[in-house]
Amino acid sequence: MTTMRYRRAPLALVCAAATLSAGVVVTEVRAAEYMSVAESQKLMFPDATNFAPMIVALDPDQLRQLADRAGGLARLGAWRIWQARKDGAVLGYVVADAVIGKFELIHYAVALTPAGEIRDVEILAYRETHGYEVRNKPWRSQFTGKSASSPLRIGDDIANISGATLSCTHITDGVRRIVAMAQMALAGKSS
Amino acid sequence: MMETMAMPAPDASARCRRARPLLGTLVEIEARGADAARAVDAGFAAVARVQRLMSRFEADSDIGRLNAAPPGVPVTVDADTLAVLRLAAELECASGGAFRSARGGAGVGMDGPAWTIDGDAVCKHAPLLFDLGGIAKGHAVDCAIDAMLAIPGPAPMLALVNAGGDMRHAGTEPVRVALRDPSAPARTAMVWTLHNAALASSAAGGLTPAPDTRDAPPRIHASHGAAPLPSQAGASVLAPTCMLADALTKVVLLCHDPAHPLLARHGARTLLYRDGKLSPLPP
Repeated sequence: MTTMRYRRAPLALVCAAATLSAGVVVTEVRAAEYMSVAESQKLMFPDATNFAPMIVALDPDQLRQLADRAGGLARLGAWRIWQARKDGAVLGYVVADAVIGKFELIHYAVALTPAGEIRDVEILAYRETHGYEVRNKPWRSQFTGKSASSPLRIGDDIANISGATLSCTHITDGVRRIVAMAQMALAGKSS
Repeated sequence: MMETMAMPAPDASARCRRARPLLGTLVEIEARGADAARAVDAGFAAVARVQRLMSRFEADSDIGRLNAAPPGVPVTVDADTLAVLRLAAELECASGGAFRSARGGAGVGMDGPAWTIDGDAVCKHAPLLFDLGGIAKGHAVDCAIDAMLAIPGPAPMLALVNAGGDMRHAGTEPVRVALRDPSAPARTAMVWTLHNAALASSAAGGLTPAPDTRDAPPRIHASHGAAPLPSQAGASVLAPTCMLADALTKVVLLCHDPAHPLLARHGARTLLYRDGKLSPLPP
């Protein structure tokens, strides 16, 4: 694992200064891409020789159980699941998922043991959308018709933001659903 | 057997940047230098260790055990936890009680401290609940930086740990940091170049309201009898360590004093302060 796991974060720093009054008033939407699903698979199961895609079929009864156990409806379609194998032996599973929070969309991958226990959680990509502003039409309209050459600036040099802390409650909820699913549908599967 | 193979020359310009959900937020760690990937691994391991020791949500953490213990029973804790508790006690005293790491035990404290440290054990003298949320996150960031710098070989050109906006930088390559405006979180109020220093921000309201606040205490407590902080109040503090920066944002906010004497004593200063009473920026 000496290979580089880095991608330049396509941070979009959207400068709305042109339409606003004096002062440094910059409105930004932050986005970071950390790694691909394939990179996360190799990071979390460095010994695996093969990642076999899987489809999990849960019957209505299991779906109800899942909702009860994980405290919310399952979003089956959002999961992408692979079995990590080495020479035919099952090392565990990787499940990729995305959660939509109030102000952010987070893609992440969870590594599970063959018994369905969490080994690792890795963030793949993150996009913060300040919903209340982005959804607000007057706010959005200030960008209408602007292109890369217009005063709407796309910055790539400020990858770090300090301010009010984001909560990762939605990831925690998503991981809980995945663990509940794994223990019902994946645990103990040998192939 | 990998050791016997010819290893490629270390790439001094290698970069690694990863994020994981830890400490109740997204922790992002970045390294540049020959051993970037290993430095990032070491950083995450250090953060995870602090979480195991000091999370109040984990029953077998030092804080979990301390909270479960009845008053009068000494609880042995890790040296790291002791160091954080010591600083918390110092800040609590120096801020006139504005900064607090334990709650409960109303009416106690007149006759003596509500908790004491004896050797490597902590003893509560009242039914207190510890919450190091206002300081342990910063400490975790510091531990991660220490772990990244401790890796044998040339020091990384850049080591940066950002735990949901509380961050510390080390190395020869500075980074630019955008500071959100607490009264309009989608806006940048200031850009700061961070170089071998730490920066933390706290906002009374947070970026998103907690989905369930029944069990969770408010993010920042107003001291007894004081008016609650307006949700748009916020502060960013620059300090030599992230633990100090993290804790001092709370002192600044709770004392309504961006030039609080504790800052100078610890080589810190306020970069951004909003008391929350100003009208928000025009839309």
